[in-house]
Amino acid sequence: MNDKIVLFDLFDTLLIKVWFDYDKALSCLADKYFGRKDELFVLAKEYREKYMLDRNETHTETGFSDQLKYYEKHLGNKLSKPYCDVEWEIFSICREEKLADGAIELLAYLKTRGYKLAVLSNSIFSSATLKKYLNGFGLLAYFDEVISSADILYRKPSTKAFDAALEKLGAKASPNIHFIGNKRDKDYEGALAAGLTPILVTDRSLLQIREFFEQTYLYVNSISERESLVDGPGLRTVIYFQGCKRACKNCHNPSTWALSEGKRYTVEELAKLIRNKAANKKITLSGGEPLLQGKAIENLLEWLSDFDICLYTGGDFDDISDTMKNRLHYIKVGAFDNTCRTTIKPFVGSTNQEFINLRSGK
Amino acid sequence: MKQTSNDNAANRTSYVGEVYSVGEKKVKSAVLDELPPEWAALHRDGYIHIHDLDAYGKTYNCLTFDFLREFPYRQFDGLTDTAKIIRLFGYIKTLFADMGNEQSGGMAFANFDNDIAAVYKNLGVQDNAQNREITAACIADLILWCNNTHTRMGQTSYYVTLNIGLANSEFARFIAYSVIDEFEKLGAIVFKPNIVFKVAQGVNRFETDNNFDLFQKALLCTAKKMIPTYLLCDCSQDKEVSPEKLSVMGCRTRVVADMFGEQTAIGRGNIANVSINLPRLALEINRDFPNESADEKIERLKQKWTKIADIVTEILIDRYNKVCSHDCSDFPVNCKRQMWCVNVQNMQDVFKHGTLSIGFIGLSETIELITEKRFYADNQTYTLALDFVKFMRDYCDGQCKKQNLNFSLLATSGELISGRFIEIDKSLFSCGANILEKGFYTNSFHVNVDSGISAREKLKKEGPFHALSNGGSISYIELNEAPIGNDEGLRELVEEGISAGVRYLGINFPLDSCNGCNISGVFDICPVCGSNDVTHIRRVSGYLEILDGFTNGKKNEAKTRTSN
Ligand SMILES: [Zn+2]
Repeated sequence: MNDKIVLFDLFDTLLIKVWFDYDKALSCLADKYFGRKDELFVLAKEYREKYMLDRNETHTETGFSDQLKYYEKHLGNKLSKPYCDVEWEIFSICREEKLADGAIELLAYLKTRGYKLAVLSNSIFSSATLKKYLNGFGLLAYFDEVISSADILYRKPSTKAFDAALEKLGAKASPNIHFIGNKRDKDYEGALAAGLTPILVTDRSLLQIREFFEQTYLYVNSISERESLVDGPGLRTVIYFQGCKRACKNCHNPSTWALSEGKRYTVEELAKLIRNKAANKKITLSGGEPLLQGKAIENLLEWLSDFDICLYTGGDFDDISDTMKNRLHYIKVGAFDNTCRTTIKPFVGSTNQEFINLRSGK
Repeated sequence: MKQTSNDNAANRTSYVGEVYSVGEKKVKSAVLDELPPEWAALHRDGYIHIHDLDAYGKTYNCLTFDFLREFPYRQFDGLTDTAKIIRLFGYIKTLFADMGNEQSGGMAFANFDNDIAAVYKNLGVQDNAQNREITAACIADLILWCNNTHTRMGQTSYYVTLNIGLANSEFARFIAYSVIDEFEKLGAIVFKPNIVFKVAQGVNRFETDNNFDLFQKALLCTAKKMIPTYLLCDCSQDKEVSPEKLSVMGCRTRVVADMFGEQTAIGRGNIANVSINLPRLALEINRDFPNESADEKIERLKQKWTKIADIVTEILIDRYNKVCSHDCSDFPVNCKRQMWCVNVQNMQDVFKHGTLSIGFIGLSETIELITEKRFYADNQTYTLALDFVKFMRDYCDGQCKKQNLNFSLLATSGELISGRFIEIDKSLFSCGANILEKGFYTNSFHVNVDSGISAREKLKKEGPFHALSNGGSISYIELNEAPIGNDEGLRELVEEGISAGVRYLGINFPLDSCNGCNISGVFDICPVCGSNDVTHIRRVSGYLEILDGFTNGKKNEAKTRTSN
């Protein structure tokens, strides 16, 4: 449940094709390095028929550098530059892509929450080339690994391709790991067969996928082992959510600050765990700052609609959605202020904070 | 049970206290010297602890007053209401002071609210605004008297317990309310007397009960001050007894069954108790029979315990006989005030109503030594522990019949004697080191303080032992800070306690009070005014005490250092 790992397909998932022209690549190769354009085009056709047509059956890959070697051999002249430089030059000239909608937002969300991210692309071009390309879009920094089928020699949907990618991440296949891609056969079916949980991108946009993560997952620092008597009326089980940006002085729980830490639960998992732990159905959602995970918490409240729930936020009353307010029993609002600490006012740490009963008078 | 005075609290000693302390030591060793050598050795060697040794054969331990039976109404003739009220509270203070020096342990009112209201009624004191105002003032004054008077033995306070909560008239309700309210208003630094709120269904336990408001008020006061504690009259052990007859005296003493009368605490008390060092027996078994199974070791434990308990029984009977050999003139206050359930003339007719208790300490360590597991770790070990306590209880019940006296099993409080036991055990045993390292044995049947289990779980585990410990028991819930304003949570604990079988429940938390601005919380330096003149209040042996981490010299030095 704690495998915070997401793998991405690259083309038409993160980067959407504007145009692609392989003939342009070959022309350029002829013009700059080999000459003899007609012969090169014949060789290219030959190569494709010999080595590339059955890729979709064998799920194996042949890289662009092998193609270059093939041309060198049959045309009888050596390239004047290293393969990788030539590959990058040819790669760049034959295409144009744009960022998928919401790509940066999704990646930023995942990175902030401490996910390991990787690209697994079916491509004849090496990962070095793909990395350079990603860097141009400002995406490279988000990824721990960029893996191309050209390097591992297996193509999606082969389980071996997914396993090779996971191995680079030091992980094992698990349904807690998501694979995000746009091709039903290669990405979705392949990831499923490899034991991952696939997400199919259908509308060339990643906006809804970020939404999915925000609504599905909760990041928890800890759940109190013993019931608390100081986090709202009653004996309350306290869930300390992970992540807070306030950095209050003398915060009693700084281990909850880092957004990237914490254990990940689905809303359903956490709801079941809470139901198991809190026999008296009284809980307090604390942190950290729970409102940073507002959408999933709204879902959690729905799962626990028969519970007496208290929310501790450092934010203001107006920061809490009406949906949330309707499902909460108590809220504590206001950031902790070290200069006006109190040990007398019930359920708050400093006198500027307010503890509000939302059901009083009802 | 009397508590030994705090050696650090030098400001409380007096010339009388000094003389007492010197005398007390001599008397104690003289008592031991006069006992049969085998008995004295058991005490000296730390197999047993004879409580209040200086009082051996001289007096009894504790008493719940039969306040109304012989109340001297005629002394109030001709007085105005105001004068009657003032004189009544004066009478009570004198009673505490006089009785407190004629017995060795605690004094209690089983129903302070109803007793005072009953006396008012018989004296014709009207329930009106003026009388209520004076009553509240007198209650505050009585609380301060209990807190501030340190003349017992010339050096310490009187161990007074006021049981309240069953108030059955409007005036009685006002008295109960005032006890809590005045106590609460006096702030953290006033932490005596011990107030016990009796929780009973149909009276105060549920929202629909007439005194539910008093229960809530009590809980809110506990949230601030750890007092009141709660006597759970609906627990399995006591639910057949009328709540009016129940009382806590001293730190936990329970007196209910009587071979010579009705089930009640009123006008009765504990005569004496002797506690047995259970871990010692387990340490010896492990040393002598290291390879035996847990079941075999438990059998040995029962045999060894029985041998010691046989001698303890003799000691208790000897002590009882010696106390009974006195006559009325040796108990002049008792003779004058008549607080026992029968008139004090022939002492045996009085003291036969008292209990003789066999106590135990360190059940947790004992079971851990034998099974290598905490007794609450699994069902099998738990059953083993429960079975052993049942064995001790059966023994006590057997002695009732054999000796024709009220024997009972006491779940002894740990704080004072467990320090003595473990020091001796440390010098004798090298094995079991981790258990000896922590410096104390766990209170009676309590779950270890480092168990980390939840409050509910703790009550569930301890509850069944209450029902077996008919000489007295308590469960504590330890909190990290005051549960201010959380009457709802404390009530949940009370309910959990009742269903688990807990008889008496206390809530503990660190309570530090600033002498500069009176704020309380958990701190060494006041977060409000910055003062380091802070009093640390903790519960020790059932009573709240000031914790002196420093000797006075060091405290003064610390004060001087930081105030410039
Ligand atoms: Zn202060």
